[in-house]
Amino acid sequence: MAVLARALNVLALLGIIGVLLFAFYHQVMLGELPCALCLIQRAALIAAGFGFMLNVRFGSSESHYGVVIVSALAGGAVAARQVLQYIVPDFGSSGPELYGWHLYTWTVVLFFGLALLAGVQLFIQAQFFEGVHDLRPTMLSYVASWVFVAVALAHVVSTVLQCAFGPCAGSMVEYELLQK
Amino acid sequence: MMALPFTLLLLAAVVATLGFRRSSELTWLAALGATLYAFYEHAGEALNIAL
Repeated sequence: MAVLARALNVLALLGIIGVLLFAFYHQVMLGELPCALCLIQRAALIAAGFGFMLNVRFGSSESHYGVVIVSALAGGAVAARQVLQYIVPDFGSSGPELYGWHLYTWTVVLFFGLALLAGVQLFIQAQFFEGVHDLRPTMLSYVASWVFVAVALAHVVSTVLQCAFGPCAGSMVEYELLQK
Repeated sequence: MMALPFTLLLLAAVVATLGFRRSSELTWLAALGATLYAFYEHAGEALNIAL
């Protein structure tokens, strides 16, 4: 069961990396800059991924799952706030759609799912037994961790380019540092 | 400052990858605080709700 927990942690980390890269693809390839609330949701997603990364790097711990759940709650609140912003029909929307729902609506589902996953994983008691922490991280774990770091670095660079060193405008069409 | 949460999260991830678990958790906590503050700055934007 400890191996199952580890596999789930790696898969969750890879899934979060995939979602962040998908958002990055929309930003870089399609030229759709994220809004301020979208950026905050991405930060919360990285924060949740960090919890899974801790499990992958150091072995499972209740506090690592706590990191995931708290981050998911924060991100879910931000995403729900953005859904509320466009809750009335014909009052506009923000960003692209995927299977009929806007990305921020999917993000609510994603954060709910992450909190649920972390909560369910807490029931796998075998992963917390003494000695399990001595399991050596696999090569995939190392690669996933470093790719996660690279994705986080890419978001730092892109956010600085977009918003410079101040607060971000609600919706932007240009990178602030690349103007002129 | 929108870049602050991302910077702190990057720092937390790097510190964790280097093997410093407790320091990385504390950095995550600071990042979460910065994220919530950024949310606070934007939470008051107008809602398009017709009552």
